[in-house]
Amino acid sequence: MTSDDEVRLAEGFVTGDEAALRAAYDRWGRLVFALGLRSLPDRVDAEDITQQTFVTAWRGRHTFDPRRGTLPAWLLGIARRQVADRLRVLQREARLQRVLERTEDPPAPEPSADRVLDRIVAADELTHLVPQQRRVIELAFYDDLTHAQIAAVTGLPLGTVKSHLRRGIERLRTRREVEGAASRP
Amino acid sequence: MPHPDRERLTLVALGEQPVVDALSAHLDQCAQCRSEVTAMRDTVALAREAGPAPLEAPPDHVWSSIAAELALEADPPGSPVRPARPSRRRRGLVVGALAAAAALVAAVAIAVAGAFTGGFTEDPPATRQIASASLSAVAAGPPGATGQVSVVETGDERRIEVSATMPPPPEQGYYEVWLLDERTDSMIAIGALGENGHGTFTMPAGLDMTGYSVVDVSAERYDGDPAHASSVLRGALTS
Repeated sequence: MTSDDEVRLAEGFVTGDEAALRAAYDRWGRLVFALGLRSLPDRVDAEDITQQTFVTAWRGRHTFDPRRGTLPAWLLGIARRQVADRLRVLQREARLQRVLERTEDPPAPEPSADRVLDRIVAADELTHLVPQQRRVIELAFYDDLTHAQIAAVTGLPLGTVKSHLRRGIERLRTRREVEGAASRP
Repeated sequence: MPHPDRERLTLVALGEQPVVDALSAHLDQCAQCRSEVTAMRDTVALAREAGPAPLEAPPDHVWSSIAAELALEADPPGSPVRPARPSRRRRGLVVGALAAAAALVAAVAIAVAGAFTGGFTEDPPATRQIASASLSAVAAGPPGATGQVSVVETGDERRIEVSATMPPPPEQGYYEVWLLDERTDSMIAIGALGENGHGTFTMPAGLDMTGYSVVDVSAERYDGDPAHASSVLRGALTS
């Protein structure tokens, strides 16, 4: 989906086109779901968060202002508030439980919510790279190959490998700035 | 040393050591390049933490629940309808207020929707086959030569896909695909087949296919003469 498509999708969403809601869900539902899965202990909670995010977004679609950010960034902002609300409830219940059981289990340190969101945005962006660029990036990121090794494995010229790496990382970085945690107050 | 190019900084961020002393020295001294490397390094670390697996799609019943809760008119095709599950979320005043506000704007939205939806593209239109033909060799053509033709429609566009099995074209020649109107003997050139005998061509918009219902493949020479030369394969389109 190009950024033009995203703009048109956002227009349809704001004007109440139900097909645009479905398209937004198909495109970004997995980001919202992943945020829930990685932030909340229970899969059912992640499903609820996904449902509530899109329900809330649709009912409040008139509050979306494209001048202040993209539709996915807005959706993820709603999702983050849903997750935070749910975590507060869970923590209250857990505290109550600890009091009842008179135990003192310090909660395990977890990655910050920002980091979790940024990872999800990165994972999603990786799947949107063109196949050759994605292959190069994956060989560098997950197989720890040097650019020379990647060139040998893929048969691509060294210059192409280096350019794929640079552009791929720049895309991840830009997307993070637009939709990641840093884009929100 | 001038600033190193971004590709070299990228390699540093990926953990490939700078092999040139000058690059190390530059990074020691240049805060701008250092912060560039740090930012890229952080992006790489994030993606490494994220892992290569694509994100999982939410299960189908989540969409059913959204559609049910919002009382959407109908599920778009492709979304299996399952019993909706009520959300466990304790809905507060905010959602109630949003719902009231949304109801208010809904009327406005419906009123203006028509003005905007023209620019909105839904899912890409489905491709469907609208006609096909089996090609066989004409009397003077190469014995045993065959071909298949499929006319498909995507949105407003019609394409004709031709796949032929026959000897390679003679030297200084090629195969051309035509549409023939047998009633008037008119022919329209569609395009040249690839060396492998395959080709996909856009149908001229507005062409009446009830008339031009025969597909013809001819052997042509690079002689500059645009007219149809000699037929090799032929077959009638049926829908």
